[in-house]
Amino acid sequence: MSCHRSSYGNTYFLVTCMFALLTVILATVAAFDSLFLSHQRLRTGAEDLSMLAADQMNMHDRAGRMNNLLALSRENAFNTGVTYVTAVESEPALADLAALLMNESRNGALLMTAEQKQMTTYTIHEMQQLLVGKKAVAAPWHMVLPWIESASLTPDCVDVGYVEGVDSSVHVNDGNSDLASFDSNDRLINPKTGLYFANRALTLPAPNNDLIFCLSSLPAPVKDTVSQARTIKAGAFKPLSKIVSHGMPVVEAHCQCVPSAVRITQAACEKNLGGFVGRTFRSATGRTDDEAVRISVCMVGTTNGAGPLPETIASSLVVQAGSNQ
Amino acid sequence: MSRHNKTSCGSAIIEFSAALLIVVPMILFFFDGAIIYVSSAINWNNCCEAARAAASGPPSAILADEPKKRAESVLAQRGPFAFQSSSTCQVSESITAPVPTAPLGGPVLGTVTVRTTVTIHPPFVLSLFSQKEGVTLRTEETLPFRYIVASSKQRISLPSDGDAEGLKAAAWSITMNARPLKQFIDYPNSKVNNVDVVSVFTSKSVDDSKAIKQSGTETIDNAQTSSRLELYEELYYCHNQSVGCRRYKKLDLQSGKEGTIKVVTDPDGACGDDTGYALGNSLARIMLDVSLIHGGIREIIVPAEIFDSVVDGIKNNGFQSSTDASVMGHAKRLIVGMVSNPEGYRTNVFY
Repeated sequence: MSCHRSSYGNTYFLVTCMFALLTVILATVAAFDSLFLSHQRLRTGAEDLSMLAADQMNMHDRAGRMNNLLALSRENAFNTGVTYVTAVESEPALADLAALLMNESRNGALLMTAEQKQMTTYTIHEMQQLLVGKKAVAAPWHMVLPWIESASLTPDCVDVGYVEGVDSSVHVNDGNSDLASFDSNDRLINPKTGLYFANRALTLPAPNNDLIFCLSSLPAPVKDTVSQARTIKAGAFKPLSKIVSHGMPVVEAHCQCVPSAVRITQAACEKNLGGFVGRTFRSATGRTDDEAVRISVCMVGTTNGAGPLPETIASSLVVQAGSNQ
Repeated sequence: MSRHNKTSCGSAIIEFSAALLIVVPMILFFFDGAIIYVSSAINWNNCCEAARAAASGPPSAILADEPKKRAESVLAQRGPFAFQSSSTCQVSESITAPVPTAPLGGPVLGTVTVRTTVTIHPPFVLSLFSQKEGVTLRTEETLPFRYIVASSKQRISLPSDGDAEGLKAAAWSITMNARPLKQFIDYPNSKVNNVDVVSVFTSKSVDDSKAIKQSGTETIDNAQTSSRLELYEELYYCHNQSVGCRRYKKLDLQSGKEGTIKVVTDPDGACGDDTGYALGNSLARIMLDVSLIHGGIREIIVPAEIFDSVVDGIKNNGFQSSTDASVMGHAKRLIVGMVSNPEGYRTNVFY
């Protein structure tokens, strides 16, 4: 009889232990699963935000058109400069007129560089409002569970920049051989692609050597095909400026050129995560605070490429002469 | 014992039969439910595929009904599934960013929603309840789309030269056309929202053609001599300011020979606010370029409706104008006559 009692007691003890162990395992799996779920949602949210920001950066192809207009403005200054030098050397009587036209093109170039600066500032400010403002906070990402609570998905850190290896969207103008040879000699053009280098000071010869242009990095169109906005590998991103830090806009954020890529680092606090899982995460991440475990994801989005300028075609290319009809 | 067995066997059969009456309809009910569940899953899957097809391509704002055609094409490829009697597909579209204005291109952003409705006729128990209508399953899927519109070709209608005799006598001719390009760089406080573009074409002279004919390289009928216009450069203006230039070739006019410059407008008469200044500045540039290669300008022909604004534009670029020849005595070099087309206005511009 005593033998039976002992056997039952062992069985009860074993069953209880098994239940306790099973409960712990299930709780751990549930906690990890919720963390995994939270990470996935965080990643999806960061991807959505990065694509939203990427679309906004080149809305209406403004960055591409600004690149084109800056290149046209540079060529304008170059052409009038060459005309001025020619007039001074061969037709001094027309030098005044040439100088007048050159000064006008210089003013146009200054207007365009000022416009580029204004547009860059506007783009950065717009993205700060978009990512930190009402739209992002209002996104339905607040998740509350008994053992875990995810904070709303406000970007923790946002950098703007460009994609490594992507030149500007502007092709060298082969029709203007003087400018093309100057740019080629000054190594302003990528010889493999025939595109101007991006984020580099593009100078001009005298008398306009004080004018400096800078083109944005942006995928160039291939015939009529324009590249789409997309997410890319984080390693290809080259930062130009930090526009959001610790969830707050950086007031002094500044870029010389319009950015073409955005890196969003998003974090969520798992507030009530405690016990074994919490300790494991804290020890793994080196954190000592008891309140929250932060998981973060990093997503990089690049904007759509530049479109080509409208090609001009005269519909009646042949002028009939000598046939008065 | 045998009596007991008989009773037991009979009651077992009765119990089994009674159980079958409950179990078989239940199994059939579950079978019907499974058909509805699977149909719903297939319908949802088809809806997702249709929405994906509708979102990948030109939206309705660019090509009318094109997303619906793509969605219906996907559904047609999938075909009807078992026990399905009818299906409908509705596609709606929401554009979040305005469609770019031609000839400029740009991205079109928005969302496309596909709603698919299918009617299922369960074959067994549920058909008694649903009767002829069947069970209707509705699914809706919304996907964002990004479509890039390429810029279109800017066709300029240049009228055939009515002044053919004049052109025949001239060594060369230059044709200029100005047109507005609206919403060029579109964002709040943009200073380059509206741009004027002046295209400058040069044409091979008639005399040149004759020379070529004499050299035997080209056969040209003197009564039907033709010369091809070539785009020389395009000049960009905004707010009465030259902001850009794209040169396509060198100015290859015959040195020391006279030619005419002709300004033409589009048949629809599209002119920007700064057209007068843009054409005036372009004329000043061309006159300077021609002078530097020692070419002579016989006259400038300008449409009568923009004659005054073009003269004002030239005057804003350092030139003066007068109909009195004695006033032009102090002109340094450039003196060119300007006439309107049709005739009615005439003046001289000089620098």
